[in-house]
Amino acid sequence: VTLDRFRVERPETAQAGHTDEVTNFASTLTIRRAGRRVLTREVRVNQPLAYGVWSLFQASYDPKNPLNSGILIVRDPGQPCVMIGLCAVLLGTVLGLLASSQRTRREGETS
Amino acid sequence: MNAVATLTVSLASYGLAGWVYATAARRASPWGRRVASTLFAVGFAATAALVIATWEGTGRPPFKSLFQSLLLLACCVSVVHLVVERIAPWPPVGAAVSVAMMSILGYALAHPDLGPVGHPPALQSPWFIPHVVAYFAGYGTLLLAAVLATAHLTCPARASDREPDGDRLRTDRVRLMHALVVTGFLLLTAGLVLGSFWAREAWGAYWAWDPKENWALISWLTYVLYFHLRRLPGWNDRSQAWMILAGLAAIGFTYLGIQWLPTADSSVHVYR
Repeated sequence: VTLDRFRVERPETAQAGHTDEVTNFASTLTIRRAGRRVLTREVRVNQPLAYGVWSLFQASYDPKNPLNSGILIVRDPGQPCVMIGLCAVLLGTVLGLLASSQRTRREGETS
Repeated sequence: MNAVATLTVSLASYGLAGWVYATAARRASPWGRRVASTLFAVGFAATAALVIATWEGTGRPPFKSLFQSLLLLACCVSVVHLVVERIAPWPPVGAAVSVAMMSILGYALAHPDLGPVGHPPALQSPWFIPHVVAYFAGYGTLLLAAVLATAHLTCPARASDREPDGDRLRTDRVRLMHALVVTGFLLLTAGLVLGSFWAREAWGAYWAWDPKENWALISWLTYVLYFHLRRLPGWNDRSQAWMILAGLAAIGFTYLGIQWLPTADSSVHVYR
């Protein structure tokens, strides 16, 4: 992986007090495999790049050196399971509480 | 109208609403309660107008600084109160909610933070609004549950000569408190799940053991405990009310307390 370009995006209209504000950090990355260029794409905060089992994130920057970009490379094969699990927690909570409220209502009617 | 003036109007309406609610509670006057409710709605409208104006003026959802989040919380609590009041009008609760609103807005007015609020790149995501709104709607609902719980603990409704309907009233309140906990808990769960999806996209990991995340999990587990304990024998309306207050204490610490933790500096969630 090579870093072609790193740029700091700033708001188009730099209002008073907003001058040092950063809209985003963007790194143009090129992925090579056995010396051959496979892919060139820009990675920004909140917009990672997925390549095979890997994900590349814009993680940090160096305020002293505007040419340095921190890229986080993540390989987490269990992550889809966790995300499905989290959705299951949400769905389970909805269904469980619906069922329990119906039970409470029935108990209220019979008593 | 500037922000401080709008908030002062809002605070004054909530204050008046609280006073009329208290009077309506003493005299059992449904007419007074309606007046109080209208004043309360005026207070809400003023704060909501300020939030919308800030949003339009800056082009960003104003949910970032502590000051902005207090206004959002005030709006959420008000909406929940106005909805609940239509289902179960109970003036002492209106008075207590008005006091809570005055504290929230009073604190915001004492620390008005009206300067430009920078949004770091991580916040510029479509997940930002649903994540924050789910949490604050949840906090608002659970805060109202806690106000009801406090009212229930301090003025218990028992069957007596004065209140022949006491038992029915108590069942209604117990149900209402529970319904609020269910709704609030669902919103907390949604906020938690949305947050982990966002974190995966922004930081590359769904969970980072950030102090705010840990305390959000502790608050969530407190309500999980509530749902489990209520199946035990010996659970009654008082233990329910105490458990709701315990949940709110955990939320309070998640919202405001983590800034005093030694790990606060490393947190990305602390209001600065």
